[in-house]
Amino acid sequence: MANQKQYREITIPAMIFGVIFGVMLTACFTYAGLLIGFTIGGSAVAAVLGFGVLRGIFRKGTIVETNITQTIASGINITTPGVIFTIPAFYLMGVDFNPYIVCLAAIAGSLLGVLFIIPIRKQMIDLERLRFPTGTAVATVLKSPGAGIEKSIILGIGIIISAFIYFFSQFPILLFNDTHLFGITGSIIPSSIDVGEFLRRYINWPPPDVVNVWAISMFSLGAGYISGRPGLVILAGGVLAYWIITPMTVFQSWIPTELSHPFHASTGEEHTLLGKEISEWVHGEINRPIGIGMLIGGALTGIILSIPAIKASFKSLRQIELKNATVEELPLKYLVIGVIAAFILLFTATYFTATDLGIGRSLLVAGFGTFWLAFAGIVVAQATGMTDWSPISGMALLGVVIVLFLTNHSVEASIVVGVAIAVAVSMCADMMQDMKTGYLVGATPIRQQYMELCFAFIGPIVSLTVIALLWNSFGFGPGKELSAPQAQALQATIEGMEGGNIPWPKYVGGAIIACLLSFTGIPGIGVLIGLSMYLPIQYILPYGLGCLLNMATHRFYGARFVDGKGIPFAAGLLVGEPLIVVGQSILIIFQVIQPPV
Amino acid sequence: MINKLSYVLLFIGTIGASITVARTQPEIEGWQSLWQINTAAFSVFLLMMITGIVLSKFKSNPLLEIDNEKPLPPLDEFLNNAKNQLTALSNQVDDFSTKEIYQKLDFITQDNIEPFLMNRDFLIREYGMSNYALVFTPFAQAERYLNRAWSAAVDDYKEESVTYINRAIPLLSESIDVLKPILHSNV
Repeated sequence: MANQKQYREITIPAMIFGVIFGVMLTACFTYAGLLIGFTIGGSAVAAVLGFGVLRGIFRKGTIVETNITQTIASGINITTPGVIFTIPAFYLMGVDFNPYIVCLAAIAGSLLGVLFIIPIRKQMIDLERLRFPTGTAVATVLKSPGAGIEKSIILGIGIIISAFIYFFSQFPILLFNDTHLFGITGSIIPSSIDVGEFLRRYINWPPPDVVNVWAISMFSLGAGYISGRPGLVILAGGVLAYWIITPMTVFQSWIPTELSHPFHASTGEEHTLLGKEISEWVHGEINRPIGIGMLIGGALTGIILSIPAIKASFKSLRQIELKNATVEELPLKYLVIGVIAAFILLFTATYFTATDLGIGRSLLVAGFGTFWLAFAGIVVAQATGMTDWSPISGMALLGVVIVLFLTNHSVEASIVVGVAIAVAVSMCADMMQDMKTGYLVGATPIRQQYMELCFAFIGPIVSLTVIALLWNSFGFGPGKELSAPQAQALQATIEGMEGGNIPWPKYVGGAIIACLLSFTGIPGIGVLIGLSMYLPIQYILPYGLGCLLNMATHRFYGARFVDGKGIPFAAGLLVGEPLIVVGQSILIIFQVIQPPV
Repeated sequence: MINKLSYVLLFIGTIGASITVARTQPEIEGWQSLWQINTAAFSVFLLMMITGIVLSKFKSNPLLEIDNEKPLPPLDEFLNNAKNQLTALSNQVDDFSTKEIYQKLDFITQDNIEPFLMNRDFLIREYGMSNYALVFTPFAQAERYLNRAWSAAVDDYKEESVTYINRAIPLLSESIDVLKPILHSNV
């Protein structure tokens, strides 16, 4: 036999490089998130880097060892979306906060995120077999040495095309702000195409409020292809939100007068811009709240309908414990410890932050917060599993709003609890992606879970430090270089809540519709339609195109073609874009290139 | 006919209910938190959705839907074949290089595991979520072990690969043992 040694999985190099890549990605994505308002998961980048270092340089890294590197790196990095959504709101609102309590809440959230997925891993990966597009793409990268030369070449082509397109769509941002390059102004490849505007030039249709903009996002296209037919519901939901509800809202004059009046009076470019403004207003004030309601209603009903599968998961976990068989995932007692820890942490954070609340109300907040951590974690994990997109900000936002109500409008306590919730749900989503990758490469779940538990605390520390540094160097908010759009959304919600403006009828209405839809038997339909009402249309359209391409290639070329050529190519598309984002962020942080204006 | 009607009702009900929830009068102060939904219209659309769902369930009742001419997928056969081929591979493993092992695992997956997985919706629809979970709990573990066996073979760790092939076989047997009575009790 060629090799009788123990199969390398958890090793010192895997841990060291996992931490190095994780810290680097956290710094990059914290910056990118404050700039553009969303982040991209770091798993794919970490997998490519780990693959290059462990297999390429050290020449002895195994597939499961590289998987541990990417698990650690993404576990550190994934706290970023939760942190950038909440913490900058303290700065923007001028609220004094205790950085140690906030950091502790973020660290606790990251650990709880790992623990709360213990029972749902089996259900979502083993039983529901959700796609987790990034998890699948990362597994495709890791498995490329054995997948044959053809698959590896296809994967590489996908990465190059995606990186190339993203790079050149960002070209002026990278080096040549406000300048001409070879006579070209603006991007060499546009970052989006306004199909609606193009059509209006020739057939004067559709109206400007029916936004038909396609982001040139290979990431979305690849995620759609890997999701396949089940992801098509996202496209249907996007059509409902942007092409049915929005024009109907305009038709019925359910929009503010200042938006509706000039819309009828003017024409040309101004007219088009106003159409976009209307669409954005409807998205923010109507579709998004309905979408959040649908997410909650769909997820709650989905949980109830999945009780047999959840029972089977618990039974199987318990049987392993009773049989004293090889323990392959964290035992249920860790979940119990996690729930108790979450309760104590949230009670402490609330009690010491909002000192006038008293013990009773602090207990109430802790109880709700613990429930919401688990519930939002399930919702986000399910949405990520089906589409690769996760409604982290929506779930955290709603959590903050309810805590604000429970704490009698204590902004500081609400954001502290919000930090824990946002970080925990981010972690749930990432952990499930990593578990999916682990499943596909044959990793041992408990080893991945232990690694995330050991290193997840690093992410919040790095992210908070970068935020503080950026605040002191540049500041952020409206009109600044770093606009921190998600934190602005949280600020607006908190201020709206203080004025009593919570769109609860839209939450309730959306929840009822999604609840009924869940009984159709189409997996996750309520959650998916809710998610699509919440997402921007320009990413939904290429995603939907990806789903349709999967179905078309499946129909005309068969399942072998999809698995052998389509999925590796789509995985490449998913990986290429984040690689350029990381490169761009590093160059900006080290002031080699200019940040975008 | 029933199927089409159920889809139409669901479609109209969902769109109508969503538009009804979207109803907004932004000129009224504090409109966000006011109940501006037309409750009567909303109820009618919800009723349409419910009728559509009930009709679709009626249509998908297995007792009404069994097509005697269409053969049932040979679910137990897929698993049996996989188990037998893995057992054969395990018995002759000394004759194979690690490259041959992972190539054989690829074939076993393509010919048996993937066709079995493609029929999972059928299993849920015809035999229920509880039965499905009973079959898939050991199956999923076996599949993960086979994935590890494949990875180890690619990395040239033959012993690890063989260990996990041998661990997967009894789990596939367990799935078959659970699946067989389920298939026989319902068909």
